[in-house]
Amino acid sequence: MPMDELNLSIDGRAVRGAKGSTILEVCMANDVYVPTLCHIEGLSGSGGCRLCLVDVEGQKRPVPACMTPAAEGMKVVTNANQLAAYRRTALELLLSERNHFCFFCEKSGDCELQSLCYEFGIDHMSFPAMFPPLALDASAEALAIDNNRCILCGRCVRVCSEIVGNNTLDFTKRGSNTVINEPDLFPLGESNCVQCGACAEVCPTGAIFGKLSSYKGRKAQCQVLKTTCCECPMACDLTVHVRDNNVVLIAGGGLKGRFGGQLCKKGRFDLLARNYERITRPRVLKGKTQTQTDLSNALEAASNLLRTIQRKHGKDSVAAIISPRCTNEAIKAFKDFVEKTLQTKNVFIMEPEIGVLSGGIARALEQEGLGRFSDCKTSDLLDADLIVAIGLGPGEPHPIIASNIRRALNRGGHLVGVGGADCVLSARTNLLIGAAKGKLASVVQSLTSLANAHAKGDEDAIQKLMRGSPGVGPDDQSAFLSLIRSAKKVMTVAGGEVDPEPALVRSVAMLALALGKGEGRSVPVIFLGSGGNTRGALGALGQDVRSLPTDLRKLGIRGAYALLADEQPAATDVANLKGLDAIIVQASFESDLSRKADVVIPSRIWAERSGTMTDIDDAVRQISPVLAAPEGVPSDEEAIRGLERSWGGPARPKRKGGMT
Amino acid sequence: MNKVKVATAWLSGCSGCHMSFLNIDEALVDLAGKVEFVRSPIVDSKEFKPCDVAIVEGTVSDTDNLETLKSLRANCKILVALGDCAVFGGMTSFRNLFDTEDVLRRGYVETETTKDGAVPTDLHVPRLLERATPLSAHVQVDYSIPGCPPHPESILHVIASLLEGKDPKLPRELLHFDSRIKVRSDAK
Repeated sequence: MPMDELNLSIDGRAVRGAKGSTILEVCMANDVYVPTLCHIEGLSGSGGCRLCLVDVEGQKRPVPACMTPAAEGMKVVTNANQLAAYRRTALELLLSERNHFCFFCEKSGDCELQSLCYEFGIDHMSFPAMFPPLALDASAEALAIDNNRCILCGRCVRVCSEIVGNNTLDFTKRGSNTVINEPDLFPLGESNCVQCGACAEVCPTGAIFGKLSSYKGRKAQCQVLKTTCCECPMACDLTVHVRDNNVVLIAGGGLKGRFGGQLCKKGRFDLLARNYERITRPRVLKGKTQTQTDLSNALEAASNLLRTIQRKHGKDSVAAIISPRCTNEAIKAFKDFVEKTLQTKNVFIMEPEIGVLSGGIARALEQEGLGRFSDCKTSDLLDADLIVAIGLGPGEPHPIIASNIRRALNRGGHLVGVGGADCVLSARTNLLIGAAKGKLASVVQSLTSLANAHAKGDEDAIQKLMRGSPGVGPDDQSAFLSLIRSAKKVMTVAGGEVDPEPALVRSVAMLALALGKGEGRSVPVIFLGSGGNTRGALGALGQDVRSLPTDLRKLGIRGAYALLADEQPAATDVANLKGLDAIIVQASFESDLSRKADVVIPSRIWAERSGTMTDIDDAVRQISPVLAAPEGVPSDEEAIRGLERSWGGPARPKRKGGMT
Repeated sequence: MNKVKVATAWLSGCSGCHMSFLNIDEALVDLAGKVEFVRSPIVDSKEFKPCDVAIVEGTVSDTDNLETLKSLRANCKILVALGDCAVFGGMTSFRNLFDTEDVLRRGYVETETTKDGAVPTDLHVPRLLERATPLSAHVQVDYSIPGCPPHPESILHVIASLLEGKDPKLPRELLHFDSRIKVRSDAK
């Protein structure tokens, strides 16, 4: 018998289980059904609901299978009549304790409590219902907590702590008065809640729910489709419930999936909340008004306009602009179009410069043989014991990275903030080294020198640096030093407030290298980007691509082809582009730019696309359409190829038997 | 063959369960041959005759409800609770979350269309009980058909089983606490 295996008997059958498992885990591994309610795979056990009670030979009373370790030779009974009676009683007690009115509950049909009641044939309650008057907390924007439907299983409390690392939710009061986050004292809308909705996803009843998903349909009435979230480069796995081409609910990839199947507020609710005006028909500017037309006319008008400008002012007078929200396939088509047809050197990406620079600089440093930047993964944050966050912007880091950092901190890790704005992690920072505007570079360099001296064990150099380093005071220096001394795994995260200067981006990389403890040659740094598929765009478009400059006219640019996709352009970008002679916009949503454009081509939103994107860890993720695109809205790559054809590019092969 | 004597009543409810009962459609014709309705909301009889089966919808919410239920129980052999209100408390028990005086004031004085309203004090108007409660809080209930409303098939299953002398307990597919939903054919 292998050392790590146990032999036990379940319902008279000899089974094997892994050492260290609970009775429930052994049952599940051997396809023995044990009802559960408070237990959920991927979170710690709690043993509160008593649904999984089993008999163990030698024990006077039944024990909860989810919390009892399996032991060698154990004889377990899961299916005795008496156990079923206990389970029924537990369910009836749960029903009678709160106000479980299925007929108007959002969760009815998808409720685990209801489903178990059906399973146990509960057609009445043996106890008088208590009807406690409990408040509904709807103070948060996206979520509501209704303690009337709560069974106090604690899944929400556990997921908020163990996966999201935020510890927003907890039990308050005692006994049958216990509630989740007493609404009068701790309204969710005024808490540190990040509204990721993880609690709603694990809630077995209708106690916590997403407001925008309520009453739109039950799972059995929906198609349940898998795709990848394209809102940011975390590229989280999505499970999307769709009914009649409407999104009903968005869930993650499961607690045992990447990063515990987390989603952020944007990923979980934005598609439900989004109310931008959609572009569904191509338009061409005639005189002073835009008129609707068909796709081929619009593409022809676009190519005529751009060709005219290029004939007059040269190839580079037309800018090609792409949003990093596009799929790899659209980016590939864009690249081909730019190289073969448009032949302009002015290729821009709608991504802050830091994101663009970091890719190039990381590659350059790799070529210099300094280390491998691509080895570092966001999951490495989870077990880091020191995280140095440089120049985080107000909306940074991405909520899932923030969760990973919080989880590391909850395990005893430390966080050092260098410069940056007030952000979601500010309250958790152990040491904040401020940097005045324009001084971040010198602060980073001082810290790098200190880290290098420490790595070499050069005490003299350390003492010398402590006597005076630009930008960092002696107290901060010694605090920083003591943190890096005790740390075993250090990670560096660089955000959007890092000035987009190549020298600074390089020093951030050098600091990460110095802090990296020389584990192989992997450099533990993560450069946060904003666009969903920035990595894919930078990978495909290479070194030549730049961030969109502030004044295109100064560069001699007269016209632009802007593939905005489902990106809403910033006001500055709109002002910048509106000043050109001709502007072709390919976009999903109306904007001040689309209303002024010479040609408007509709584009699909990410939920309608198929293809791939490249995530922050350089992994390629599959995107499948979960919604059907409005009729006549082409994929970005179809539209680009059409533009290429109308330019007089390679003729389309004739279809056999096609219409002439 | 003697027809089985059945009485039905709705206490504090919305009559939806009785509507669902009528929705057994053509089975009503078959049932009419086997059953005599000695009392129902549409059979105007003030007295309670002995019967075999009493089917009761709604909660016990006022003194009249309580009297009706007790009389039915005293005169029937089998008592069936019909619908979420009668079984669990349902919609009509929402008021248990508030004080009775507040509920009466809201209903008789403060509604948006009431002018110079007053809570009735006439002794002939049944008095509201402190709580709206399911039948089982007052009398022994033999069988329960939850659902809001119970599906006609569930109701028919119980009645047909009683007529055939079978156990009327609802099988899992006929047990539901709300209105049964239609499921997509391609649902996974």
